[in-house]
Amino acid sequence: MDTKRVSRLVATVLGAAVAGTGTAMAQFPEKPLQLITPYPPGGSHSLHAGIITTSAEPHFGQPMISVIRSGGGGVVGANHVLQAAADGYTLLFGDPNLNSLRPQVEKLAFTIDDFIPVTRINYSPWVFVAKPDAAFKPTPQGMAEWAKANPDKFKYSSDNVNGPTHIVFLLLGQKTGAKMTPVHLGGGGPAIANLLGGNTVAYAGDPSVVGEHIEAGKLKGICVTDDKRWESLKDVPTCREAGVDIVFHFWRGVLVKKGTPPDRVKKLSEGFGKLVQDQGFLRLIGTIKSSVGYLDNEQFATYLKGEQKQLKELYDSLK
Amino acid sequence: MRGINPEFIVALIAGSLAVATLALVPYQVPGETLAAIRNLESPAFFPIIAGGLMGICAVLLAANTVASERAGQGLRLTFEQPRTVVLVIATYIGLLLGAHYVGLIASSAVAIALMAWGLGYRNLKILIPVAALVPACIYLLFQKGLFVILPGGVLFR
Amino acid sequence: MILDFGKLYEGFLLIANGWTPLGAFLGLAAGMLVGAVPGVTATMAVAILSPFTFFMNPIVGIPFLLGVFKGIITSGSIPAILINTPGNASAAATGLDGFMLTRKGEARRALEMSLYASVVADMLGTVVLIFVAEPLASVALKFGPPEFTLLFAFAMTMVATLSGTSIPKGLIAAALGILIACIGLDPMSGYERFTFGSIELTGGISLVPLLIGVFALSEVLIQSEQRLANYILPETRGRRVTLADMRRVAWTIVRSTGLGVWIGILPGMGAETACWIAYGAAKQRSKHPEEFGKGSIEGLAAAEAGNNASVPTDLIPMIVFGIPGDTVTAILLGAFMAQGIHPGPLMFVKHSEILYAMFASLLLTNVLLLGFGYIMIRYFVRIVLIPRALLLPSVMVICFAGSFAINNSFFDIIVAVTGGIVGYLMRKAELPVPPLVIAALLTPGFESSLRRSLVMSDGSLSIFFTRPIAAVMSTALIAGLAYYLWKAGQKRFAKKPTLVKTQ
Repeated sequence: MDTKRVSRLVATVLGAAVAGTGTAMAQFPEKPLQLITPYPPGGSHSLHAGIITTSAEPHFGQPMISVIRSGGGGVVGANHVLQAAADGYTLLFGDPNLNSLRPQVEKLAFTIDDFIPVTRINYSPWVFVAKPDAAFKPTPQGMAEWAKANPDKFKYSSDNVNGPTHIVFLLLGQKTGAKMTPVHLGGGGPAIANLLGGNTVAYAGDPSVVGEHIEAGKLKGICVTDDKRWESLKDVPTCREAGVDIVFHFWRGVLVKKGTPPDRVKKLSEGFGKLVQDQGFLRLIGTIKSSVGYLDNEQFATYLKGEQKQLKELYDSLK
Repeated sequence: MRGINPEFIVALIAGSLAVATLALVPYQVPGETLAAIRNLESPAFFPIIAGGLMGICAVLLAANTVASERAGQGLRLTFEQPRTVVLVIATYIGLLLGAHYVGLIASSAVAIALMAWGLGYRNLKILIPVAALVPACIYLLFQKGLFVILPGGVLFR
Repeated sequence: MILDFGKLYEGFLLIANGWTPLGAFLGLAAGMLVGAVPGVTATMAVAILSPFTFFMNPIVGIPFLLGVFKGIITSGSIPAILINTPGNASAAATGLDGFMLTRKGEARRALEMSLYASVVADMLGTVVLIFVAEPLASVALKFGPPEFTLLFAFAMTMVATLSGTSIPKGLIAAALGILIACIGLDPMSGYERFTFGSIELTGGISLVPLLIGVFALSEVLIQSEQRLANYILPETRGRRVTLADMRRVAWTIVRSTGLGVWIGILPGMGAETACWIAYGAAKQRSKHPEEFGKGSIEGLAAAEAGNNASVPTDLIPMIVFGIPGDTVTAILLGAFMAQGIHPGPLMFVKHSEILYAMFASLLLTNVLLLGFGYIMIRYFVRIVLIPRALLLPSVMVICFAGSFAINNSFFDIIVAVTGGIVGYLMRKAELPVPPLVIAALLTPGFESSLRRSLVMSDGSLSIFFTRPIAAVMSTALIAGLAYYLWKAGQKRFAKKPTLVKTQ
């Protein structure tokens, strides 16, 4: 190899390296992004992640890959994000359970401050449901009265311990003074199956999961934990309207590891802002009967702080 | 009969594992002790049952093995080619480390080449292409086809 | 709803448009090719492919995904038979006899029997789906935690059946399996068990990487120390499945299909459980139980019929109630929803054409499965001809990648390697492996169901006798156990004379 070729080679390599770093600073993202879903595939989380990632590329300039890393009720996935570099390429698709409640009340390996909020994509309230032939009146007080009159007989379906489907019933119990017993069935599917089969008497589920059953008349919607009635369930009153003030939002949002440069956080937030207006994305969100509730990184950060405080107080008072 | 009866080793290991499990229950299952055996709903119930079962069976196995030894019908542990076994285990561990530090695809190519050679394959004209081709196919299938981002090696982050 | 033949006919017409059969075929082909790679599970493939179907016409997208599902469950048995490496969890039981047949030089016969059993079971399962989905689903809904507990308990007894000659050894393996399953988060209380402070262990020990390790990686170790000529006989030319074979396994296939169909319907149990229950039941009823594990064509047929029969019926809870029975159906549910079709009580009313088109395409893929599978066998059999020194490292590397891919977890590769070494040592010590696998597979469900039952009954065991279905099952279980103990006792007493003689 002669010196001319060597020097040309060196120049090319150096030039590429310089250009590379230059580009890295000017044009984030320049390689695919990874959206980590910390729950097993099949739930509404991974479904939303799939919809987000299929619509993402035009709005970020790079493909977004949906990566599933389940385990420990979401802890393993969250930890996976924390073990990656804080460069904005590894995003956590989180929720209040994982990011607001559990780090404060359980001994997890991370705290609420280990993540920087980027975007809130949407939120769902929870819908209390029971069978139409239930022994109690289809109102929150109806449930509470029956529970008080029949101690230890009010057994309701819950997805997972300390999960949102459990928390809203704890809230109901707290506000009405009734004692109700959860049966943790592992997921929405078994939860509804057991309710329909008569093994449990009530459940609080995601609208997209219980909606069909309400529409078909197999389940009765008792009330929804939102401040206004839910789009596709106009006939179900809010819990406030029904007499018990329970508002509980289960959001789905994107967070990154603490230490990610603020300009990248901003860029991601803006990208998501454009994504939630994408026609294809909106169409899919509509077909799965979900909604959009976009908050950019600053709004989301404020929202999160408030929610984290609120949940901690709630949990302490429930103990 | 000469040689070791592996069943003794199994009984020993199983027995130790059983004792370790039962001893660890108070530490590794928060809030529970061995008394939890009375409570079917306790998180410690199944581990205790498993530990107990293993312990009892270890004892039974030991007894059976003694009986079969007396009858001259005990099993014998044989390793036909211990060097090869060690080679393969070393390759497993090496590939693990390689995948972690250098990346799975690159390490796989090296692992295939080394192991095939170690198992006696000498035809380099086939070995080298295979060692290159198999990881390439894995890359195409998993990373490009299934969008699984295979380990890339911490040294290159 | 009982079948409306007119609607089914319309369903066939609807899919006769050319794109659907193509989509179904592509899905089936893709599934069969990809499912033969160890570590590529139905969940993974369907999860990756389902977003692509969001923008497809549902008449094409759904049959495509169903084809993938079916293809993967079927072809997972191919590596299990040829190299003792189950492609996914549902093929674990197939390898027990399938690989022994390969060792005897009958790989082609094993592959063919696996295919025929799978196709027959799939057809019968699809017929059940189409004809009696709704009434069966209503019965399935009556299965609550107490019934599930008893079902799991019954499945656990398979451990005894598959312990081989030494019950203590089988139970040691099973106890180890139970312990492995207990590592991680306790499903009911959320407490960590035996995690030793490691975050990775909080997620527990994943089943598929464990399977890959304990079957495949241990096999690589075993084969590397064998003198190959003795270990795997060359393929006997012309040894194929005969009519006599089919007649012999006919009842086994029917029984295994029945079991598989039922397990598929129950939300929470799927192909990976069905294969073991079918296998165990076949061994108990067989006239030649001693052949099981040594190359029994019956055992092979049972495992394959069991796991394939559960695929069509897996869809039943989803279709009838909108309740996913396992992760694959949960993903399928999402794919349906993204098309604006919400499976569940209203599906028969609002989208019945899609439903019948789906039935039609399932029947179509059943036929395609037979054709495609038959052609593939010819090529796959050649795998046994690859020099071991090249095949074993390649299998190792594929297993590493596959274990990682399940959950994007490096820790899972460590699980597989550990499983491989432990599995190898177990096999050297003649400690049976199936009890470990069965226990690890069933314990989470068994434990959860038991504890949920007790929550429902406020701690009382009477719930297992006061509910009608549970009462029947409890009695059957106790009677079965008693019978087994009595028989075992008989054998014990029969042994005594022999012992006295040798002394």
